[in-house]
Amino acid sequence: MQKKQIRIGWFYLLPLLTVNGVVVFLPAVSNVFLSFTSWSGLGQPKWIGIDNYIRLLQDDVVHQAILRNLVWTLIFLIVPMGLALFGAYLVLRAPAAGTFFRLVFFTPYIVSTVVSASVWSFLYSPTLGLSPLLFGAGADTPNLLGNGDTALYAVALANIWQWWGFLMMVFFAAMQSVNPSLYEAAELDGAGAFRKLISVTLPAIRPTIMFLALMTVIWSFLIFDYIFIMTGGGPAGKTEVLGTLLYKSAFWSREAGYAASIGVLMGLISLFVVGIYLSLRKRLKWEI
Amino acid sequence: MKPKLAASGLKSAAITALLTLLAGCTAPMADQGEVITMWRPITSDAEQTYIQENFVDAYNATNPVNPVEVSYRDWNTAAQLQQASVAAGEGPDIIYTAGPSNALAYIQAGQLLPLNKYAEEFGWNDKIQPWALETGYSEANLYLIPETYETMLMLYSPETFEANGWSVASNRSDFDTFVQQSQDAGMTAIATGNKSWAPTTEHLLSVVLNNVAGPEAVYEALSGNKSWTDPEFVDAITTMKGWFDSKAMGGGSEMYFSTTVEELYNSIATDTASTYWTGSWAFNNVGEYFPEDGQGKSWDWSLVPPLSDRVSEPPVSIGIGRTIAVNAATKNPDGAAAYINWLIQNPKAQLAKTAAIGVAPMPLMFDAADFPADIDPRVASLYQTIADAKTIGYLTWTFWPPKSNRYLYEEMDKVIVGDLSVEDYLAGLDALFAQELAEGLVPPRPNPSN
Repeated sequence: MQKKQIRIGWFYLLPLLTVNGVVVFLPAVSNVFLSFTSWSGLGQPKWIGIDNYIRLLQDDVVHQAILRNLVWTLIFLIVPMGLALFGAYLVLRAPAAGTFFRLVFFTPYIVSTVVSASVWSFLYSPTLGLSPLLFGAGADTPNLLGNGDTALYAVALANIWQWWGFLMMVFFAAMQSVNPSLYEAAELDGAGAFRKLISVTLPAIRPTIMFLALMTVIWSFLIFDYIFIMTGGGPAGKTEVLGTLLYKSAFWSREAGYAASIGVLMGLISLFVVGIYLSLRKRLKWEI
Repeated sequence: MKPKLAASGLKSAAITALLTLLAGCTAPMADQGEVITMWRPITSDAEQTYIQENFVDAYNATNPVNPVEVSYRDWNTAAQLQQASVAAGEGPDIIYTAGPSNALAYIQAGQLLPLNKYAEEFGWNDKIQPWALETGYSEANLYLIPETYETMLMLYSPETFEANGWSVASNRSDFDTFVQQSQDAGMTAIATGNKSWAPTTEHLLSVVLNNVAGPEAVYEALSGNKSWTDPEFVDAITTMKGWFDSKAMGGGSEMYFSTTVEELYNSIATDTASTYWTGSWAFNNVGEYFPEDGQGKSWDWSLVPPLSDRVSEPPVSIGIGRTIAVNAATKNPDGAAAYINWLIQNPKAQLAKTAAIGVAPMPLMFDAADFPADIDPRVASLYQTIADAKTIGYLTWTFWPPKSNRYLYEEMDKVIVGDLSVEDYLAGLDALFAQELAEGLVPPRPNPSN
């Protein structure tokens, strides 16, 4: 009977496994294969062994892109995560106004990325945006997207604006599930609001924090949309990340084989991050 | 309960299989080749409506056996979608590309059908401008038919020029004076920006390479007889870099990277810039910014003047904006060629399109009678200027091989911001170009003396 149940279970899983196999597993395997070829994206790929990977190691543009992905990761691990934790805690402590603020903070998340990125591009415009209003029009008006030193951070700010509300909602939900008796106990021990946040709330929602941190790192290495829409990787390549580089290699330079090797690199980075997380979980005996 | 669930699952599977089968039954319609499919990149709703009514519907009205069905795609993603589809052995019967350089990968992959026999049968050699048809050849096979042609130009407002006592410069010295006077008047001398289109730098490079280094030098370098590190090219790139440094071009690098096309048109209409270096595609939109209500300014165009002693008259830099070709996997090559031939045999329809929506025509052998009465004389004069050109130049996106072309504008951006020296930039171009030349990836080019 149990074997029959297992068979039925597999039968129901079959469509999902088939879909996953076709749209995830097979493309992933073919991408790995293509990374060992010279291929324009059309016609027959030509096997070139590890040449693409040797080029990856020597390509300064790739190194710079990885560095920017790391900067992006660091920004997103600190700013939106910190904002979201703090915001969720404040919203939790103000139940009356909480619903209003949750709505306000979460709304950007439901805005289309293209719309959001386009609006932010407009806001940053040195002729039509906020800069000429705040600092006056002219040659010295701050031009955040036009300046290579500030462009990446300006794009990150736009993305954070949309993203942090989602994190806040997840943290808020996690904080709501913390056992109230822990707070009562802390209060009996004389803990204030800050001490309760540090010693009760954060340890209690640690699995949520760790999971979102893990996903933040993975998503940060996949970032493409905001950068492509707002700067296209410019000015002068100053916001080029692995995602935009992959796209341009595949479709602008017609080096789909090389683009595939960049894709494999991105996948390996994600696997590495997941590996670190699993290792930490095992070593520290986390339940999640 | 469980057997019931299993039965339900089997039932679902059976329905799915039936739907798949039914879906499969509709597939042969396209495979029979009765419908000729195309994916056309468009830039506006007006363009889509015009093309559908005046080309697709008009053709289908007289050719019901092999009607054309056009799927209109967003300009930004059309090429990628088509590449993915063709790579999978599918794709439309008629393939669009963004010019010969872009189409090379299709040719090399054997995805396009040679059209020599149709060219001979329908006499295309006598219908298409020779230089344009030549760009469609690869190793004696004709693969690409030019669908639009274009050139670079300088857009300006005659009222602004008149108010400041300017006339269009005819040499470098006059142009330098004009640049200085523009800046003194608080205007950007050469408006440009790449916020809307990242490769805009290649437009500017097309101008300086031809107008500073000269078409002869470019022709020799493209033919592999001259190095890109030679002094003419150093002069061209240094000139462009100098204009950015002095903020004469694009208002400087920071403004360049953050200025949109809409702002550029407005800059001419509102006197914040004295010229806007753009291409003939500007005719699609320029009217929106200069309404002919007698209240505001008007616009006109001029070729960019010669910018060194090496160039005696303004070169007319030419290039192909789009090409059409026949998918090697098509089931109906004759039907696809018939539609292309219909386009080629209708020069009046091509110019009527240009008159109506500003979209460039096919580079056909036009005569005066082909121009519609309602075409804007400024637009007509541009195409007449190209036809009369004694010296032609080369637009990078048509005559440079793909990797060199991408290098040209992406690395030039680094020169503009000071991250790369002019010498290193040209040395890098020279090495990459030599590699692509050896691989046979450089598109054919006409002689500069036309």
